[in-house]
Amino acid sequence: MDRFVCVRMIQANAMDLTRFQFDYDMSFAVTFLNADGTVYGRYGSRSATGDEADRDISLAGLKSTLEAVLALHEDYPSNRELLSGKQPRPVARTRPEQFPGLGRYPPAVDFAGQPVASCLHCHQIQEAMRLEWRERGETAPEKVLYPWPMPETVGFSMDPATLATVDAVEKGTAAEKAGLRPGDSIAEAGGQAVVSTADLQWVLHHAGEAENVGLTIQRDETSLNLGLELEKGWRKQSDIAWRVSTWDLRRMVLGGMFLETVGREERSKLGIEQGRMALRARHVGEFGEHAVAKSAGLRKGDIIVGFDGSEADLNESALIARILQEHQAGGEVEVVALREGERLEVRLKVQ
Amino acid sequence: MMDHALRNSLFALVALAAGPAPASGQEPKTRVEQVREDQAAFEDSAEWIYNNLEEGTAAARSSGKPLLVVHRCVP
Repeated sequence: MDRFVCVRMIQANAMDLTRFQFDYDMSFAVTFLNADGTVYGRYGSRSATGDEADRDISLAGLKSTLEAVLALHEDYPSNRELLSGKQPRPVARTRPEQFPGLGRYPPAVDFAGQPVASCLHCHQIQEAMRLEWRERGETAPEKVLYPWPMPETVGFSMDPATLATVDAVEKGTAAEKAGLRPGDSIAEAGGQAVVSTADLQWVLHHAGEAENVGLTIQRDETSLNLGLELEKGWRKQSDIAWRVSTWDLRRMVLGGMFLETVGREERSKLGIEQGRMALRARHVGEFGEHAVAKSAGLRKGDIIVGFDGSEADLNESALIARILQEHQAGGEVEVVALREGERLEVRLKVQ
Repeated sequence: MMDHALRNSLFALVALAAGPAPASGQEPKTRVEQVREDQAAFEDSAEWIYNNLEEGTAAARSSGKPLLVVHRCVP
């Protein structure tokens, strides 16, 4: 650690968005840079505590990342080309405060007065990006709805105790078709040096609607080049339920409900056919614009079996995206729910 | 094997990022308390520059070291 200059930022107030581009839903995000602004890599976790942190990060994995970054720094600037793809992209707004709704925040946290109320959170940047499309009455592109895809989106997971080693590959996915195997170490993706899972997220985030992403992997001391074929609509496999910024999407299209998929066994008990919608209201918002479902009569524990005329077996992420893409603010959707064997039908306002 | 000093430094980077957990039976800390504790833990640290990117960039330029910038949501 003493080979780095370590800076701890606890605010997104006045963040330079031309320089700091990462998954803003991460609660712990690291950017490694040269003093001239060149980015060496990114690292992060959905949560810095509990099971979610264990899923994403570990001390051993972080140590490997630090060593890889030091090696990149040692080789800099002769490795500029390898780093070119990792550099921030042009953005329309250079500070979070330029987004509608975020202009009320001061340029720095007010430690002496109201440190919490004055703190602009990173996830608010992600929310503002989506809200901007919504308020224009336009459909947000998939890149905005499904930002920073995890490798699981294309069928593989990473071992958090390593620099960038594949832990598992799911059958029938783009990763399996590419020939990726557990134990493969990913050295480069899209022509970029990979020092973490967050680096893979960066590559996927900037991949096209349909694209072949080149991977250079190390397998049993052999270097191989693979092609990860991303087909149209690939981002829709992304799970956005964990994202803090998804709470605002729940407000917009689910009336403030947080829905979880009901398992096979419970579906059978409830008499719901496999392949049909079965989403439990794990949480129902209680206040303000998050209380639309509550006001319509829905409660925690209700099982949603129909939404906007569809009974298709969608998970929450896919349902949110579908309603966002098909309904603008001000519309309504019909919701069918089961409660203690009774069938309820309500209408929810879309916001 | 990871040496003890490095392990401690990495632990500070990751675990302290979340703030100390309340002892059993204690009230959870308020969000304001969490921010103030985090500030107290890092502001005078010899290893960390707290919430000041310009100072960090200047230190990296003069030392030739790379920057490690953590964005951590505390409250």
